Amino acid sequence: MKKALIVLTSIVLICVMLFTGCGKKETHGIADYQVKMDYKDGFKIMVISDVHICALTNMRDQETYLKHIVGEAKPDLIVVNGDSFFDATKKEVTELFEIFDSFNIKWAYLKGNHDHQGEFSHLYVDGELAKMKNAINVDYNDDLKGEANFYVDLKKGDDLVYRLFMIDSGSYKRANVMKYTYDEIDDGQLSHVEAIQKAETDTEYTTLAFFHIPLNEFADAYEGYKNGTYKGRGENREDSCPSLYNHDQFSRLKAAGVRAMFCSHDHINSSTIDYKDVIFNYCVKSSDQIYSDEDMIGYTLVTLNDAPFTMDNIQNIFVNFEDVVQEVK
Amino acid sequence: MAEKKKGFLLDLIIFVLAVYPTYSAFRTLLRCVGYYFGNVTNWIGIILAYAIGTAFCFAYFKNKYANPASKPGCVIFLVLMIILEVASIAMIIMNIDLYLTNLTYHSFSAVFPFDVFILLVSYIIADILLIRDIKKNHFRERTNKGFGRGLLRILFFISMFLIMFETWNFIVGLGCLELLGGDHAVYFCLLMIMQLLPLIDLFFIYLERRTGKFVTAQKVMAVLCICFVVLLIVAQIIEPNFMVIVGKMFFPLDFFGSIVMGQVMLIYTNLTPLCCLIFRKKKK
Repeated sequence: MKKALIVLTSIVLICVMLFTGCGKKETHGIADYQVKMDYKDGFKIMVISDVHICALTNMRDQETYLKHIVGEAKPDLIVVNGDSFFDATKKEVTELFEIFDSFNIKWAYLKGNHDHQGEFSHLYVDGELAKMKNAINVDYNDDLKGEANFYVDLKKGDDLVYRLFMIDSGSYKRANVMKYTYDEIDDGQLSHVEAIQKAETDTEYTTLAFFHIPLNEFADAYEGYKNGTYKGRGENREDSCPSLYNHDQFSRLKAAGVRAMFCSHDHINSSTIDYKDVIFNYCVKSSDQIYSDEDMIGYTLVTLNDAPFTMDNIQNIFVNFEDVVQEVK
Repeated sequence: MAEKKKGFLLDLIIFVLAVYPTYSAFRTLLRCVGYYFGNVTNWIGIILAYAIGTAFCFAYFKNKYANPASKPGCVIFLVLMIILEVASIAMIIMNIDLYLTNLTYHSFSAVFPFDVFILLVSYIIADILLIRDIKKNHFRERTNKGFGRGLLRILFFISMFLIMFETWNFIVGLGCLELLGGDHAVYFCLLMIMQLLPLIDLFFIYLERRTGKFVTAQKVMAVLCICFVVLLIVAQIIEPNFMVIVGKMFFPLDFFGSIVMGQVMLIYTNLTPLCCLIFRKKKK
């Protein structure tokens, strides 16, 4: 009995050492997370969200629809704002990435809560993404949570005009012994954003942030908009589903100079609200997969210009999925 | 001896053949749940076709290691299976357009049901064999110790179902070996081993029940399984989110419903050997 206990304790101790010891992290300077693009007046960012490709999805219809909306928007940059997959297989991951890459437009890929929920690993997704010639993602094996924690600087000559933060809001987090809850943008990621902003000498630029899971304040903002406290437009047809955790993400991002925040996650919400000098936008779902409302499928278009950034720069555009697919058929 | 070997081989083949449809039925159904059953009419034929395989497997093992079926029982089962097979084929034909679209898209799609066609053919063969058995009044008397009694038997069959799922999960894991080069390689290995151990143990229990001889390795397996259950708990304490990082491909249900079920399943199937040992001792 004593022998068995010693053996058992030794195994546990060895494994504790293994569990805690694995994974060497890299250290990178702020500039390593930067992606530079040329800015022009009327620069268009198209946000595609919640495509939810599953192993049962008819990929041909999805490709038809995506081609149509990208052709209509003619963007300079595409931001894929999470939940591109939903219990898919490796095959669908590669196919969807190839579709995005086939547009010959630079694209940034952010992960949502459902993205790794399939028969593949997150490292497979990263590997496939690295093969795409138009994907602009920057990812290191660093201390930052998640994969997408980079920023895109839109420059006119040497002048920084717009900065776009791509933030990985994670997927799930253990809430207690029996439950998971949605993840959050954590302290490390917020410090990363703050450090990048602090290091910038240019002062006359506008900052936008893209992430998948909404902040807690999105619900307050909508309530305020409904009772007339805040200006806005659009509608939310379901309650916001943010993380249970709140690390002052809103106040810290705002203090870091973020002017507008773009999230997805809630499929039938498409409001745009000016909340305490920060614009909140729910990006439109871009497929008919999982649950959706027929009249609330499309994309979000953000047009950048030299004038101050307001709600007018954002359009949530609805394009009926069935109509597009049937028309092509 | 040759008869015994043949019997063992047949058991093995039926178990292995049932693993894939069991997993696929569950996963496809889950995908429909994820879509709030909006697409269930498209896939119900396929889910049914997979589920029939599970039913055949369980009926076979129940007949051989629990209660041998009576002639009327056999006839009812056969009729039920034929009805389900016909329904499945009809529903697949109704949705063939959808599957053909996937077939012609870029490459052979994972969702074009070639596998289902092969399964349906094998079910028809099984039906013919069953009809032959019924005609010949060929019903087996149970000659082995069987898988326990009452609640224990139910728990054993639940365990067998979960082990089938874990076995295919293990195969899915083999397709994700790139995780061995990642930060959470140890956690991934832990999950892989914990999904394989119950299968090995099931084999030892099966041997014991079949031959009536106790296999000493079963004791070793029980200790090993308990060690791994302890490790799972330790891993959970050290990295509460390791399941989110390396377990999402294994336990989709956890993240559909935000409920921790994967670990419960692993603990349950890994504690089965211990239960078998305890009950075996009590019998003495």
